[in-house]
Amino acid sequence: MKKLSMVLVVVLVLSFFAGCTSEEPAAPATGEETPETVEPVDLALWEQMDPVAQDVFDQVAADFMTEYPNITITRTHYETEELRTNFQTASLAGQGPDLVYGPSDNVGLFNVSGLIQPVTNILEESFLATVDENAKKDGFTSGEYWTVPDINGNQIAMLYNKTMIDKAPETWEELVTMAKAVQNIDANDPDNSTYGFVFNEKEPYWFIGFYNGYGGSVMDADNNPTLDNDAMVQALQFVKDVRAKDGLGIEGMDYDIPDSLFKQGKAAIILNGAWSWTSYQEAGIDLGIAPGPVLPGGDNMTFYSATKGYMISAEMDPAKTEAIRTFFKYFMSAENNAKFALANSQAPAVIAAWDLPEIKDDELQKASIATIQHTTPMPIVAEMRAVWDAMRPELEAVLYQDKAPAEAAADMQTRAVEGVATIRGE
Amino acid sequence: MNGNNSAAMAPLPKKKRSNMNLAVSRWTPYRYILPAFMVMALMVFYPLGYGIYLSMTDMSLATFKDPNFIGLGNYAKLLHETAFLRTFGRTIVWTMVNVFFHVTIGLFLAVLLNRKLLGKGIIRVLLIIPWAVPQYIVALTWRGMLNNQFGAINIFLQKIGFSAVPWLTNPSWTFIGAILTNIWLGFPFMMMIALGGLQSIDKEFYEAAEIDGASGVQQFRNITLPLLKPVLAPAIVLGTVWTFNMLNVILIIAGGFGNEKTQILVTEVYRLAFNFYRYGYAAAYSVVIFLILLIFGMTFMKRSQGLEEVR
Repeated sequence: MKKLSMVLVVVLVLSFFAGCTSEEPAAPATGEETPETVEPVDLALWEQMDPVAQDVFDQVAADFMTEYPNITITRTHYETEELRTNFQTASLAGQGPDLVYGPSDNVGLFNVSGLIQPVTNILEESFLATVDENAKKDGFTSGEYWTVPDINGNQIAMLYNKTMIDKAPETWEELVTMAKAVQNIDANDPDNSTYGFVFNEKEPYWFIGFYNGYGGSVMDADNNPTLDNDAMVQALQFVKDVRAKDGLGIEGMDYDIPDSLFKQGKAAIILNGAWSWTSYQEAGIDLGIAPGPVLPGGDNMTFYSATKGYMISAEMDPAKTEAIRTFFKYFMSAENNAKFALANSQAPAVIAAWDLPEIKDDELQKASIATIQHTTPMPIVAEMRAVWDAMRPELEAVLYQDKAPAEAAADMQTRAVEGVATIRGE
Repeated sequence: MNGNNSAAMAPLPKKKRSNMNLAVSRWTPYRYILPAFMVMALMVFYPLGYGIYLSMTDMSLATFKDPNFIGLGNYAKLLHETAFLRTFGRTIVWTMVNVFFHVTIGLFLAVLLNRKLLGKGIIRVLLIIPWAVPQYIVALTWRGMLNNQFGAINIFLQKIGFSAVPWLTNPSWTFIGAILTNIWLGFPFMMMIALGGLQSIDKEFYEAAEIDGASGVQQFRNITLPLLKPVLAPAIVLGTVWTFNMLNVILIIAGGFGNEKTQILVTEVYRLAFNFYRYGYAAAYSVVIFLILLIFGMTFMKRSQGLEEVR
């Protein structure tokens, strides 16, 4: 009995520590490139893909593994925050994956921490030349490209219900006229009212379209916040006036209410992102998509675009270099890239995919490629978090507490500077 | 089987060997608790120790792979921050108001359910629903109900002649909205604990009290409350810890980290760690929260004599 209990304890101890050991021995780096990978190679990919994109990935991966039987792809799904924290933790322990797939705003975080490597370490210029320049720019910082983007989008555009508005307004004045013509609000019966124009007025990702439209930029070349300026004051005043002066929208508009009203055909125009477009079509809305109109005294509303793509781990085994090149060559072919773009309802990052019939003939893809021309890449540096954090309370203070836009802009800048200092550990 | 008989019949050496294996030595209890201790060591003590170590480093994005040891630097900075004290004060208000209503409502409903009541089973199930539904769903539902224009609460308030409350556009009201949501989420736990306690109280105490002429209030004060203390005191400590560290409700009702006036200590830890990537500093916050809750728990249990037998 005593021996048995000792054995059990030893087995228990060993089972605990078994999980801490390395899963597989690192293959020796040859330092030489071979034309074809012949040794079995397992590529570990951690991703944050939408469910439909995961299915497409699995189909493409199955074809890939049939064509390249020596390479296996192990895909592990995580949600956004999980992916970040798990990749950080695993990399610290030297247990991370070879490739990470996710939104480009991870780049700033991962590259400062030294968790990823420039993609040019592995991939040749000729390969990267097949990818859209704007999409590539989204993964560019510290003088290097850090991602291989496969879809470009996440951009907000102006969406309109064609049964209520026959053409897209090109200027804000036009929008106000058209929206007011269909608006019919009964304060005592909001459920049976019709709204001309709605959008998420609280969220900085929407607000940035107005700020950029007035010529603003959130950071300078050294990633220091630049929020206290005329463009910010104009943008804050404009957003406040949407309800106060132009009489459009609803107080406290967040994401859900405008989204729901537009889906029910109770709102004529909405500002919303590429991720939502399919859902409106599925809800039976005769959907029109156009860039945001020209602001009074400004330019077009200019929203951010952001890519999703692959990052290469700094801990990647050099022996897998050739397999990774093969992976990218296959997954980033025009045909396969088009499949991912269609699954995500966002523009393909591979230029040649734009000319494929499945992309050219798809209404959403056409709209996506057209509206993305009126966007600017979202900064991917870690300091951007401080900017977002600083914007929201001041934006809400202007909208709901009558704070003067100039004062809010100054306070926003102070908050952002403090936040950046916190992130930098100053 | 009689042990003495078998001892008499069996040869001595064999019996001795058998007794050695089954004998309780001074190490036996340790052998029994060893597996649990190892799990505790891996799952509790190591993370706690690592958290304390992390709080003494400057680990951030830039120093992620190679953090520097800075001793108590993070603690010194934290305690000099006025924002920390403001958030701490807000957390105290959040916790006290929530736990007060959790206990009051829970106890009231438990007393009600402990009496003869028509449809008691159905009422009990209905009252447990807030506890059974995932927190995330509850918070999202409440966020919808708190909407200024379309929310059920404002529509109801307006129908009975009050003006709409800016629940989601005024940070102070947003905080109150979060408290309402959390009260709704938390009372079923206290109700269930109190109900369990009430059902274990011997009816004879009440019968004796009635013979002595004690009123209902006197019976509640002198019988129910003291006899509930052993179950209620640990539940209050647990409820306090859970409420103090409640992240979901605040973040969902407030729509993120938007306004400082809606934040509590644990949301600040999350913001520092995952928005600002100040892992060392966030760990110092966490250790301070741990110490606050540890001191509270120990003091409360001692003062309330919650672990002592009822006399």
